[in-house]
Amino acid sequence: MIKLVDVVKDYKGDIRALDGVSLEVTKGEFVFVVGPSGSGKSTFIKLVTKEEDPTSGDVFVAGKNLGSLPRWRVPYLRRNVGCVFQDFKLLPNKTVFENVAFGLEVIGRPKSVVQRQVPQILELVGLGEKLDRFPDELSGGEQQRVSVARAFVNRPLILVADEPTGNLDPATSVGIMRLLDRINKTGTTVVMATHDHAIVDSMRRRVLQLEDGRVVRDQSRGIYGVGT
Amino acid sequence: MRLKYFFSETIQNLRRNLLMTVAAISTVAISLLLLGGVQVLGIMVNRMTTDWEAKVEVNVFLRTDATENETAALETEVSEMSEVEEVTFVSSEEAFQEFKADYPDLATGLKPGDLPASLRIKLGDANDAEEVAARIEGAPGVDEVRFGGNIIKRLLQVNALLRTVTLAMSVILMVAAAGLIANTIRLAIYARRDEIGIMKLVGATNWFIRIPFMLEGLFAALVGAGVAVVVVLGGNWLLLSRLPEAFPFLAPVLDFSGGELFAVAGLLVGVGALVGLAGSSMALRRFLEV
Repeated sequence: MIKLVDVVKDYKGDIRALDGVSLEVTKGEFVFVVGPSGSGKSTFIKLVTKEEDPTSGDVFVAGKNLGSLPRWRVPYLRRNVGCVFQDFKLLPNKTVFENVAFGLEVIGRPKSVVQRQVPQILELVGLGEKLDRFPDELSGGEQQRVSVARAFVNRPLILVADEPTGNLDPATSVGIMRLLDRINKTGTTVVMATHDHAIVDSMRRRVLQLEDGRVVRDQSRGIYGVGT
Repeated sequence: MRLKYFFSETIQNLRRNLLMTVAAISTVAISLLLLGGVQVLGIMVNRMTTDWEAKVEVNVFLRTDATENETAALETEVSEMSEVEEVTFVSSEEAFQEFKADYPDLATGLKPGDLPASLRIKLGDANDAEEVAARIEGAPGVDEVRFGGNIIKRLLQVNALLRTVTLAMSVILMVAAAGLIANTIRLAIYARRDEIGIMKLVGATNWFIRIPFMLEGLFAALVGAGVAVVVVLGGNWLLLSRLPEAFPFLAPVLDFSGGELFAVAGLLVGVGALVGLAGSSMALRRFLEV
């Protein structure tokens, strides 16, 4: 589902974020990407959504080589990759319902589909009662649920999450992780960058550990690791 | 289905970003109002200069001993010149009658026959006066040729300057209006860059993102242009069209046809719409590259 071959990514000013990364994530997997800040976790996520292009090497997502994907096809790639962020990225002037509906409307889904799917997905994330609230009337955990709902309402093949629990307390984080786990069980591939030890250790899923832009550990049913 | 989305999105955004909408509309209105004012000024200058130039004529005074043949030959020759629009023969008797009508006090000492017969020449372009006069000078039967000389030349120079100045002003104002409007739209879009970012991330195509913004830009520009048009037309109706009552000599300058004012209105709406569309799509380009 996601494949990186010898990927190097340099940012301006000779900053090497990824240094020869090769890895493969298969369909339906749940993968934690761990490592200290600046180890390349976010860069990896951005390569998958083609927010960034690799300096060298190839990135494949859903069977397509992103390097040869024309610019106008990028929106269609992103419809297959749902994104969740640490800062939720909700629109403050839209209600919960509208925020989630937005994800469907802007890809041209008809109103009937929006009317059916949005309440359904909000029920799934446990916000069926709060459709008309605005984001600032919700707790952090609830906001992140809205953001997960928006990422998943389109039933993407892949869900990438960049530190989705970074701003949440442990109890709330557990709720979000249950949600991601449930989404994964529907067959969606989930890639989550995190440095939350407790979550990684309790879930026991595949762990990819990055350090200075290299994969230093790839372990199925792993833990966060010692000393990192 | 999509059209409905675009329109409801546009209206919703205009409402929720009311302050920005008002800012954009008033910027458009003020810039276009200035542009419209200069256009009306330009029409007035054009009117005035055309009016002056239409009064420029070349007078060819004939010798008292000029034969009928000489006069007829001269009239034919002059009327065949490409610069000449109209030639009128004014006999000595007609000249006397005209003079008497215009200046009854001065005419008392005159008797018919004291004034020379002449040819009155109207030109297509007042700029040709000097050349036409020079060509006729010295022809058989011609006593003197008058065309106003330096005064006409000076007048024409002033006219040319006035026209250049108003044209330059309207070009500058047009560019300034375009810049101002585009900048306001850019600000409005900048305020909503997060929204655009999210649209990109969930896989909206660039056109899908662009269209509501462009409709908003168009809407704001058209409303602004409408305000400017109403003020320009209203100002003309309230003020300019009443001035001739008080200052009759201004009448020829201020006598606008509806067509000219509609052309100005059309220009304002056109510039507004174009700048609204182009400004918003240009301003968007930077935010679409994610």
